[in-house]
Amino acid sequence: MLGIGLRLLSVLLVICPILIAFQVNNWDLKRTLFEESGVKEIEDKLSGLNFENVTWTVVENEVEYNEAKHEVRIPIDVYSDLGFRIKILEVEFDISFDGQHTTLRMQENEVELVPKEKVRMHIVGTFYEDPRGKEIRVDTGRIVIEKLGVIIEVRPEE
Amino acid sequence: MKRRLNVNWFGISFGVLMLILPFAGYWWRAEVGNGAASLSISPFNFDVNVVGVQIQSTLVYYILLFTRISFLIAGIFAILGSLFADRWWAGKLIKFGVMKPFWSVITLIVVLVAGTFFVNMALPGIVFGIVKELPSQISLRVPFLSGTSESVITVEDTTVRTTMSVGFQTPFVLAIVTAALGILTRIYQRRFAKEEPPRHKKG
Repeated sequence: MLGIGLRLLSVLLVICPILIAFQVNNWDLKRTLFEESGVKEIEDKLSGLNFENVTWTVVENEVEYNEAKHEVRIPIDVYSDLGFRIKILEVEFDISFDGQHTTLRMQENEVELVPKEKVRMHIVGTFYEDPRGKEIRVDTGRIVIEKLGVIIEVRPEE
Repeated sequence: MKRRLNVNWFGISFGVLMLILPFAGYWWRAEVGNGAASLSISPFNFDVNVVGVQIQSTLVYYILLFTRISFLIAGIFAILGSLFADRWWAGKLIKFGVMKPFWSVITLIVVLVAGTFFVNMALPGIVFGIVKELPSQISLRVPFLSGTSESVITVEDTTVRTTMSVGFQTPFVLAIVTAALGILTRIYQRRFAKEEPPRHKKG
């Protein structure tokens, strides 16, 4: 009798949780397997991770050019409409004007974007002519951001 | 006449550990990046966290709750059976849960190895099938059971790079000790093995 009772107890300990889980969710398979609210919340958070939510504005009247070093320093105001903080680790643009090609790189080691706030960063590069007032064409670019240890590298199209 | 106390000391130790084990914490943990996502598991707890959001399952919650209850009952039975090891019912009580931690450890390792194989070998193929119209490259390298690795996913112009750390936690050592004690308890209990007394028929 004891053996049968113990075997029955083992079976009940396996079956009961499954029955109770379905019972509390009115026998809805999807709701029993996982709570949709959590999945929806993750979708909302990740869908916000889009560069369209980041505005880059070149502050043209504050562009500096060092004739001795042939170096240009371009300030850029970055406004984040993302719902969370991210770090910009690298920014690189290959640009051309008047037949010259050069690469501009972010001057700061990293820049932290705070939601709904404007942050100033600078890109620097070597120009053999003062580029101010001239039409500059961005050929290719590379932006590296970091969020929670995940590094995302984007190469925006022309 | 004074009765000699026959105690299965392995069983007592095993029973005590069975009462502690469900509250000891997670056995294994995986983390993506620096808290971007994490998975912590044991037969009693399960935690999936993605970008700070916890994913919950009612079914998993109840299954793990009952596993915890089952271990506690097995612990109490093991202590009772071991205190009165020479009684006919002692072996039956001990047998109820003596192999539970052993099979839990084995199941966890099998699930982790199978899961890692799936993520490393099969998952990239499945994702390629979904995004086949986009130029993509997926290199997922989840370490087997313990370690750190880097995974890279490239889709069109975007490359996502992250580290993944996986490893056993301290309570897993307790689980192995409990499993070993369970096996010793079972072997040692054979010394006291007794048949169930025959039932007397009323007549």
